[in-house]
Amino acid sequence: MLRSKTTRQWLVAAGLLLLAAGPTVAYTPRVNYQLQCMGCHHGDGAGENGRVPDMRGTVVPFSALPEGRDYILRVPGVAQAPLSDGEVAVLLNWIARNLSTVPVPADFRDYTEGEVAAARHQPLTGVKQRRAELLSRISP
Amino acid sequence: MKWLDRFTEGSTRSLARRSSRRGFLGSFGALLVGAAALPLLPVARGAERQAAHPAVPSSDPGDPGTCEYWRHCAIDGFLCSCCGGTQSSCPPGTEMSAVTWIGTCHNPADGKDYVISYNDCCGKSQCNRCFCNRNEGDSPLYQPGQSNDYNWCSGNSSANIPYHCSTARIVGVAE
Repeated sequence: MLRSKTTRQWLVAAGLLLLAAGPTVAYTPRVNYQLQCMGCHHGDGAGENGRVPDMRGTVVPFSALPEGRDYILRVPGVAQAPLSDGEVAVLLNWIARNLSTVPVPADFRDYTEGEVAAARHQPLTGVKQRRAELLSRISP
Repeated sequence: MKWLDRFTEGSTRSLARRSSRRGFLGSFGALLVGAAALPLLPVARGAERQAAHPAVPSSDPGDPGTCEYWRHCAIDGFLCSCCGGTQSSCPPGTEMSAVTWIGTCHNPADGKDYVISYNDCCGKSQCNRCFCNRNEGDSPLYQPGQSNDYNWCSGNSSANIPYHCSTARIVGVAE
């Protein structure tokens, strides 16, 4: 009995060590937004008129289109952010649920690490043109 | 024309009874001051949009006029607290940059890391006081969002307005 208890204590200690030795900095999506996006897009995602795109009215409608999801995952800010693919997925889902002015539909498809990994590593050229095409598709 | 004399005398005397010169000077002065102050009010528009509810640490140790102050861990520029502003507000006559870069600094008092927004103040020539260049967490220019080498005044709506000084504003706790 004593021996197994000691073993269990060792296992717990080893687990704690593993947790501590994991990614040194792991922030909540809100803080990752502040650190990686907010400097230009502002705290509410409104951006700067004519300079930094407003994401509030587009993130949810774009996410409903395969081309829109591809666009979001390949824009410079997403493609180049010093975040892992998993962190990007969590961050995008947070943005959709916290900054969007368009309600998140019940069938909203969350971004996954795999989807982010498949698209994000081919950065987009012609960002402005692609955005304009998508905007014309989502406007009624 | 006697009635005009009487009317003028009567209204002048009644005005004199009801009002005082000092009262007029007082309210006219207040109007002038108010009119002069009105255009100054929206100076920190960029700041308000950046952080509506900044978390204030329970303890904010050190001297904001020095490079060693904890919030200045990645600053590169002149400290606004030496230039007529504070570590979180712009000096009069300057405007806060609309876009900026953001990093984290460790507050030695409560042991927490805070998200710090290094908004530049723009619209006057360089302040030239309290130059600091600490680069903790600073990234090369090809990662603009983490680089303190940019002149962030260039992102403002009025193009090419000069850089004056830098602030170090708290956005929240980095958790």
